[in-house]
Amino acid sequence: MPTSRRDFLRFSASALIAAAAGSGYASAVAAQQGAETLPAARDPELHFLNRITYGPRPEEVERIRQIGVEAYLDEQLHPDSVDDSAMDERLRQFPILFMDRRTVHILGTDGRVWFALIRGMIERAAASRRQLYERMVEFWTDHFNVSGDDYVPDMVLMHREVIRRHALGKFRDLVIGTAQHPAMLYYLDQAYSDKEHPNENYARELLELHTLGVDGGYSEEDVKEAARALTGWTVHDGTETGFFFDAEMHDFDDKFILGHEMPEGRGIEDGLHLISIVANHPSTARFVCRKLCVRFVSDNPPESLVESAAQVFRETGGEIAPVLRHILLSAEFQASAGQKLRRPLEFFVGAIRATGTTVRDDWFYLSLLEDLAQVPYQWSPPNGYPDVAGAWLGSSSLLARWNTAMTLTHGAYSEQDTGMTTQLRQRLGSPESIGQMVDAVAAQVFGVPLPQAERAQFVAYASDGGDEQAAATPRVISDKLGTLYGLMLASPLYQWK
Amino acid sequence: MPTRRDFLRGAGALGAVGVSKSFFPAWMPRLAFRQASQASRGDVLVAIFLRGGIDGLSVVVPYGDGAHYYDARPTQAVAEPGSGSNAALDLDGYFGFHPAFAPLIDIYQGGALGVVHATGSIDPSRSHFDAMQFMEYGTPGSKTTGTGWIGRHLQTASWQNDSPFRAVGMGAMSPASLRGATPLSLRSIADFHLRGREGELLRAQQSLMQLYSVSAPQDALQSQAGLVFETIDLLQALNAVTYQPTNGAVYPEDEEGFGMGLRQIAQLIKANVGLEVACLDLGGWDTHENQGTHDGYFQSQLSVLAQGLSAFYADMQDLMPGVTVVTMSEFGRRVAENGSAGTDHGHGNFMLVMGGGAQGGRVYADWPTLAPEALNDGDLAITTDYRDVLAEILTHRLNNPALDQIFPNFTPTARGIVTAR
Repeated sequence: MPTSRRDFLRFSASALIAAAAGSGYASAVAAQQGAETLPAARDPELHFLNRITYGPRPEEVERIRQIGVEAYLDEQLHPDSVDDSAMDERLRQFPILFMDRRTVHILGTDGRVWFALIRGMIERAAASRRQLYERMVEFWTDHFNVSGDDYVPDMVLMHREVIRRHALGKFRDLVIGTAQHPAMLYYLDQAYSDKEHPNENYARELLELHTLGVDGGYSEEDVKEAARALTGWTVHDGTETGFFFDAEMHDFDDKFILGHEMPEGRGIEDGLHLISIVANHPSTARFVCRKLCVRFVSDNPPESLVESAAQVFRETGGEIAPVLRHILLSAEFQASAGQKLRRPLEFFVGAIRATGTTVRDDWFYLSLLEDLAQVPYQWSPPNGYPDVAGAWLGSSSLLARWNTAMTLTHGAYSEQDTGMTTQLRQRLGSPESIGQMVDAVAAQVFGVPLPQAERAQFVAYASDGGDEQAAATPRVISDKLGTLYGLMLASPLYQWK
Repeated sequence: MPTRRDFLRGAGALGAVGVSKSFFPAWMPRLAFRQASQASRGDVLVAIFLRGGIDGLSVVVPYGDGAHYYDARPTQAVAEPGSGSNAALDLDGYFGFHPAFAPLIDIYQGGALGVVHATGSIDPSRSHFDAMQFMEYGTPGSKTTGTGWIGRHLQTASWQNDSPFRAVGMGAMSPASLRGATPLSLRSIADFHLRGREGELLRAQQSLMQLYSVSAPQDALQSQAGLVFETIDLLQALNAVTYQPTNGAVYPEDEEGFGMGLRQIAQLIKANVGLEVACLDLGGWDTHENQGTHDGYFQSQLSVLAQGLSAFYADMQDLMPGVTVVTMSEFGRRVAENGSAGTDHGHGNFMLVMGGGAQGGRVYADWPTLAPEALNDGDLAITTDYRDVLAEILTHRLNNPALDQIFPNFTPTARGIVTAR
């Protein structure tokens, strides 16, 4: 029998659980110094790209300058309209991601399945041209978190068939898709819940984390009734999807949940009714929209925006794309430049994008992510990796960012064969002066020129205290380029977006 | 997931380059920070959070409840003392330790380890996240407190301490209980240094310090950066790699790093670098199915806890009278086991208090019993607010009487669990 998510909070990051919640600390942090001097504060297009991508590439900056924010957003909200054939080509190195259910289960918990899941997610985030779509995939991966060593093939399938399929679709489809997916059924112990002893784990998190939210107006009695309604929702290898309704495990008595009667004698309809109730509950619209605003706008988003987004959510029956469109075109969004701290994974993916890094060695890749304490699909508790700055501001975390930045930009100097290559030289062009060199690196890292104060500091580093007119000789480039890149990625300017 | 454990350290990254101390600017306090004497600041506090909701009824077993306990736990009960090899270890004729707690029995009988039962946070939430937050904030029911109970203790203490090690959270991040202080998060003493290209590293570090304005930090990120540089400098002096525990202490080498965390706390205490509070987690207690109380998962995780505490006790030796260790968990688990040979979220639980000031060797419990009519929604009721225990530690051991600020709107009841210094 697969073990459940018993490794709850076993990672070194466990204190993050508590750090993730609450608002007091986050709000103190959000008012970080000098947000108004960030380039994005005066550049709405850059601000927009900072939030919907994993770090803007020069070609994306060029595109949005041509067509503007709204047209760019509409392209991104229709990912099929964005050609991503180069990405498809790259993904051929991960055939596991495309295997059918039976085949991936033959591989089982083989480490290759893990690496395909983790690397596939990051490669897509780094290289896909459908950046907003990948950001939403990450959002729902957190929202419907699953983690565990024993059902990783199911996690590959849930990622592909539920999260990726519906990332910009209907919220309800995500709820029903995860509710009936073996990965979730195992992870939250639903697979073992029967009428004699209903297991409340999934039912509770369905209400608390997936739909209504902990303050969404349900009671302990609602949790218990919801658990009864879901008895019999389990896994069987013989079905096409792995989901199986086992009538012998189901409690056919009547139930009363969130003010709704469920008459006796119903089977799988109880659970479907429950999901319909919670997916359409007004608290759910607010809860999900608030989370979207925290992800895309600020750690303490304006209530006005949460409310207006929730209204779009309700009016569209939980269509994700229009809600996102509403949030990203709002005045509240435009006023939020510099208020979000890049999460470690965003930092990592952004650094890969800026440096053109590729890593062949799976273990080396994993080791970098472990240092940053945000390995995809390795968050044990069901609430997903935290989203607010306060959770990620620790000293160990900050040092790990600096060291990751230096590692990614010093592959050429590393003695170990990590199978890592970068594009630092290739992307530099032919700068004649130190100043041009600094500007060329800044364009790769930030997408736009640097503010004067920061630029002067990077010039001072690259010129050893000299001036920007000094020649960018091959020797200077050889000595300074990697560290200059690393410093920009390690700088506070890069941590905020 | 494939374990890499030790792969990373040493392989992988750049060769680490040491940082010259002479490079640090004059503002940096180095080892000359103001540090209060132990006479004024009291014990070092080691606060251990058992995340996930540990099944206290399987740790401090109320075998004296008889059928009310054993009928509710057909597969997940610990047998009463004297009934075989897997039986509880008697504590007082009513309660017994799980056999995995054998390494702690001598400390208990010696009086340095006390047990509190039917305790916890009185808020009825069975949500991990809310319950942890309430407990760590020290304000059950209020989510807007914003600071943790330990953070407020450090804010209101009457002495000063500039050491970056004043409050340390072992792990990638600091727990909510430390909010309000400026805690250091520390995963590995040995690995806490900046990497970079040899020859450029000092200049790189100088640039980083300027970019983060560490000489005059103005936001939380900048403060953390200053803390990082200060800590790098101090840890270099600790000679971390060669540290050897004393007195035959053997810390568990668990995957989560609990043993390593306790070992590093012992090292920091011995190094006298100004540590006042250390927070450490041991998770994995959310045992909804196949709990493995006797010979499975729960049993082995409990062994990690017991071996860690016993190694720490041995390693600290003569320093232990100046250290107070306290454990807590967000809630206990339901009295009746579920259909998956596991237990669901419950309410009341146990706490341990270990250290020189503990009036140990007994179980402090205003025991409500497990009789059906005595339960709180099916769960063990709480008759001792966990803040009663912490309040005593704060006033008697940590020399901080400002309970009205640390636990606002709460009047603690004296329990006599620790003595005054």
